[in-house]
Amino acid sequence: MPVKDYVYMTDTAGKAIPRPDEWHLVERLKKGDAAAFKLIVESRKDLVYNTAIGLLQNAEDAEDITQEVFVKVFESVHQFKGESAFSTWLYKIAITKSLELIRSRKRKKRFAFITSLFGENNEPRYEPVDFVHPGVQLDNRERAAKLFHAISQLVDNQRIAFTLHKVEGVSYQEIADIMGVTVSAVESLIHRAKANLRKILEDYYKNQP
Amino acid sequence: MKSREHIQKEVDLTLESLEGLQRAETMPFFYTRLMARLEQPEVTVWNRWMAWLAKPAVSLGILLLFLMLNGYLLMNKYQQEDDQVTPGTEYVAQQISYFDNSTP
Repeated sequence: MPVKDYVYMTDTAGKAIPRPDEWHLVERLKKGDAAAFKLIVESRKDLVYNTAIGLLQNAEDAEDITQEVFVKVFESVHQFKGESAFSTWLYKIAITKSLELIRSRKRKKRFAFITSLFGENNEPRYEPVDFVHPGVQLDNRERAAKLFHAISQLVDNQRIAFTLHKVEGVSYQEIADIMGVTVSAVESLIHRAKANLRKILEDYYKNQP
Repeated sequence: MKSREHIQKEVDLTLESLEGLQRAETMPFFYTRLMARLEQPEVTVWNRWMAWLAKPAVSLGILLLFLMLNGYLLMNKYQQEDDQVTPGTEYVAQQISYFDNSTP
């Protein structure tokens, strides 16, 4: 019997919407099926890209990391045992790769002077201070830019939890699965993130002329 | 000076600015770019090291270090040889002095 690539789910209005049957596609990818890989990429690329852009706050870096995530999926699909949802696995890879890039940028900044002595190409990189997420509504763009700048000042685990929830719309339960913590820990992280953001923004608006 | 209420209102509005956020989407032809990347030869750690070593500043720096080390070792060697010559020289001097004294 031929296996279908899509399963049909119903949306809130009761309309049937096709969604790739990921379990089946992953099994096919494990056998080296390129068509299955294409279906996985096409159905999940925006999930990865949106997560990466939320954390990195740079479109080019987010594209680069999205490619890296799917290269990793292609090469390491055998490591996916199906103990968690496929999307959870993708989120985990996207977050790990994004944080690696952020940390490597910080390290490079610190050692920029030393490496410049050895002829590294250290042209000043454009780091947007006012990143605007492409999905922000037009009348919120200015405020969202300030919020994203404040988010970039949070510690890693608060930033991950807050970004996944607010930018990607991930549930507390799935964030808990992704981060390997309990749901109450996620609630606590988001609560602390909001408190810290409030403090950062209060300082910002106090010092505004 | 801004009032506390005004600041609080601005903060609240900023925190709510992500409401109704749409998911960001990749640029068109993402899969094509991904496949091009997958087909690229793999950059290994060895390749990266070789590329780093091939930089003129790095290779000249290593050469300079090598020459300095060589110079230092040679200087050390000559110093040691000089130290070893001293007893022999003393011996010859003693012999000369002996013959000088013994000759009538």
